[in-house]
Amino acid sequence: MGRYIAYRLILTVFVLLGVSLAIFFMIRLVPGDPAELLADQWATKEDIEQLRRDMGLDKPITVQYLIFMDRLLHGDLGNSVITKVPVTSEIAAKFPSTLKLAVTGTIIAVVIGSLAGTISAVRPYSIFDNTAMILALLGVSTPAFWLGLMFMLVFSVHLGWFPAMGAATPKHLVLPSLTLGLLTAGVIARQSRSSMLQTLQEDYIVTARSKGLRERVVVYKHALKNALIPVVTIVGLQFGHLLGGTVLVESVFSWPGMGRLLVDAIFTRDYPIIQGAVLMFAMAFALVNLGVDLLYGLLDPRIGYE
Amino acid sequence: MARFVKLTVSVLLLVAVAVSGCAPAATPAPEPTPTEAAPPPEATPTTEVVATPTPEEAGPKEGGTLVISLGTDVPIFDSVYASGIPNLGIIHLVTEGLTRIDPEGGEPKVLPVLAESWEQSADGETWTFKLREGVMFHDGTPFNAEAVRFNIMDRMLNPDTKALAASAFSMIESVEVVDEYTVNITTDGPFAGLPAQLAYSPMAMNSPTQVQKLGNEDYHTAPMGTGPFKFVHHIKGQEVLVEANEDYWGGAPYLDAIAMRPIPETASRLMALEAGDSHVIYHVPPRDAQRYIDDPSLGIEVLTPPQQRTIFVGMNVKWGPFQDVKVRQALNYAIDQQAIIDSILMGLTEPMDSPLPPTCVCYQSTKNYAYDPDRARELLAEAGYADGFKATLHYGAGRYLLDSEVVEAVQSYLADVGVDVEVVALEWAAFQAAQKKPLEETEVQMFFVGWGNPTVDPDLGTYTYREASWPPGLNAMFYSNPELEQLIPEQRAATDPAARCDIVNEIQEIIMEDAPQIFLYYEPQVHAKRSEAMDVTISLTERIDQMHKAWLDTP
Repeated sequence: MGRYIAYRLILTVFVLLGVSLAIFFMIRLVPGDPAELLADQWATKEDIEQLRRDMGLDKPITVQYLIFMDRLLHGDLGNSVITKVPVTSEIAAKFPSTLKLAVTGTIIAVVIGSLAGTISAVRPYSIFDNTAMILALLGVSTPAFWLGLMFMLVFSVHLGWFPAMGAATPKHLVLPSLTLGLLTAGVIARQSRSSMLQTLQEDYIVTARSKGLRERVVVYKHALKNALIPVVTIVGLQFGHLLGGTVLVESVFSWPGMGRLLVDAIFTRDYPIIQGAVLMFAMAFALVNLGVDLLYGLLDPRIGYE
Repeated sequence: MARFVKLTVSVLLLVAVAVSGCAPAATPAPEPTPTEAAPPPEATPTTEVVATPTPEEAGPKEGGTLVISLGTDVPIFDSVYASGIPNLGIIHLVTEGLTRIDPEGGEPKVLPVLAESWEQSADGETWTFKLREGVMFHDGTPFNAEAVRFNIMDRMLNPDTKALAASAFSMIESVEVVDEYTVNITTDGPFAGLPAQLAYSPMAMNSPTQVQKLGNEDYHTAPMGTGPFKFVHHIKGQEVLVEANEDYWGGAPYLDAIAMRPIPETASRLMALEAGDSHVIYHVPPRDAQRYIDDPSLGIEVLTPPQQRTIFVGMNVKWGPFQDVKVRQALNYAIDQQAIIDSILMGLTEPMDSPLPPTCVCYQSTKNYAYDPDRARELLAEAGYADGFKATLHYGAGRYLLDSEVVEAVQSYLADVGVDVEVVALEWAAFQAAQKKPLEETEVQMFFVGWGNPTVDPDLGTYTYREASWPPGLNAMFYSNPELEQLIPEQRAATDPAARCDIVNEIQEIIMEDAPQIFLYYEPQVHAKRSEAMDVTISLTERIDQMHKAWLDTP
């Protein structure tokens, strides 16, 4: 198991290298120059050239990449061209907020989704099942943006139950994480349902029932663990979507996280921040999927890693 | 199984009840507050008497934290490195400049802040500023001529500082300390607009002691200025907090503190205002502004400070049909500016009748190309384009208020006179890149953009019409006129204000006649505040200003 983890971690390093290469060149190919965007109305051509020199953008692009990699190996992601603050501290300040949001959103999604899916499977085609599946479909189709704004309109403006923006108190976490969570819950609900339906037809379930075990024990002790295996995979994959979703939700709720940092950086072509943030997202995604794969192994003893 | 389901549902219900129990008491719904409270007295150094039974009779109330929401966060709390005028306005709550600009009695004027009065020498190359006496920075360092010299020469203009706006002050050659409260600022050639230029937001007076202690890079962590509020903290992306400076030279503020919480999404910002989470917000879409005006029970007042940004469609005068002035004038006659203003911008502004905004010194209402499509077609035919022609129009979507809607309207007006316009909507940064290409490389034929006049001095507004401002400068029309090449430097050198305005008037007339742009309108500034936020003013430069006079009328 230890060897497997090491192997996966090395693979992750290669993935991140690839991501860094891709993002580094892609953002420089997109039209738009950070020096020009930063300069004000009085700036002369020489001023802009000087700015570009300060940003290190006057060198050939391959040289820039080598400098970037050299710094990266020393743990230095460079400085924001707008705030001059080191990228690592900007990310360190913002990443926990996004993590909080993403994790809470995932928990809400998994709890509501798997609960709804399981109950639907146990009572197929009942009113609960039909309602739940329609809601799941709505969840999958609804834009995160719209749902967030609707929640804000109803719960902040009209009812005044929750604040409309910021991240100061735990109350501030409710609406944004609900928005994120409910959207992903839909996918998880559908997957849990079909997975549970299938599992409940397995031979060993029939055996368990014929042994006289109560239905609740059958479902939750025997079936659930195995039904969850495909669901765990889905959660891993959905986490990528969730991270993307944080970008939208953070904008709507003015949540001070990395999603917003990345969006703002793109508009100002703040290359170091864009590179750093994308690398962080890639790493988070890779690590979550590693975790999911390991969890897989725990849930299903048939799966072993060497 | 049924028992189990019932159990789960009960648990969920319990959780729901528990959560709603934790919800805060509903934030007070906006109550209709009397719109005309007694005008607060002028700020005095001593605290105001407050205790009165009814809100309508009271003078300004003390206390409270005012919450402002802008669309962007202050990038860094140091005017030398920050960009974005509204952001700089927040910084100016703590660090002030020598002068500021505001319409007093309707006329845009340069008003004293830390400089009390100023005078230009006979040769025009030196301005003498008399500074306000007895002012201290928040760290106790006295504000004096040496501090001014330090901030201008050792900070802003020092190449090592790498100040963003250094070039805006590049006309300053030296600052001489005459005595403790007098400085002589010498410029490279006579420069009529210096007091206005010093009001430009990146220029602010910082405590030399603090700058030297922390260094340029870290100064933003604990800035010390002379302003009505002191810096408390700046949590990136979340909040800027400043607290009242009881020793402020203009009188202690009524408010305890001001918090600026950025909300990038417009819809979210509006909701924050309506829910009461924010007291003042920037940039309200006209339709929502109309909603607030129409329904006073919402308790929200709309603020429309005077405009300073011109909005137009620039034409590349070196390309195809635009080389002929008749074509350019024709396109001006083809657009119904008033209809665009009335239906898209809710009537909140005026047609552009000069290259300068009405708030600008020496502005005159020069020429209005009234809507006349027949005349447009006539002129086009005279120029040899009776069958019209095709052209592309580039713009950076989302940058200016309702820009996409206005561009669509322009497109249809031009189609009406036979000009087939293909609109190319780009992201702002991509549009900037396209606009800055030099003549040999540019593909831009028409472009929709706005030019700001943050100093409301004609210097900047006229300088962009010279060849020296061709891309990578702002003059993407590639326009120039030999007469203007002479007149524009003349207005800068003029030492007599009246004579200067004569020159500027001539400049305005030539530009309107040459019509290198389709003149549209002045961008309306639309902001909003809750009625309990009293005496909150946003100046024509988009800066929140005079906040020591603001107060919160909450029981």
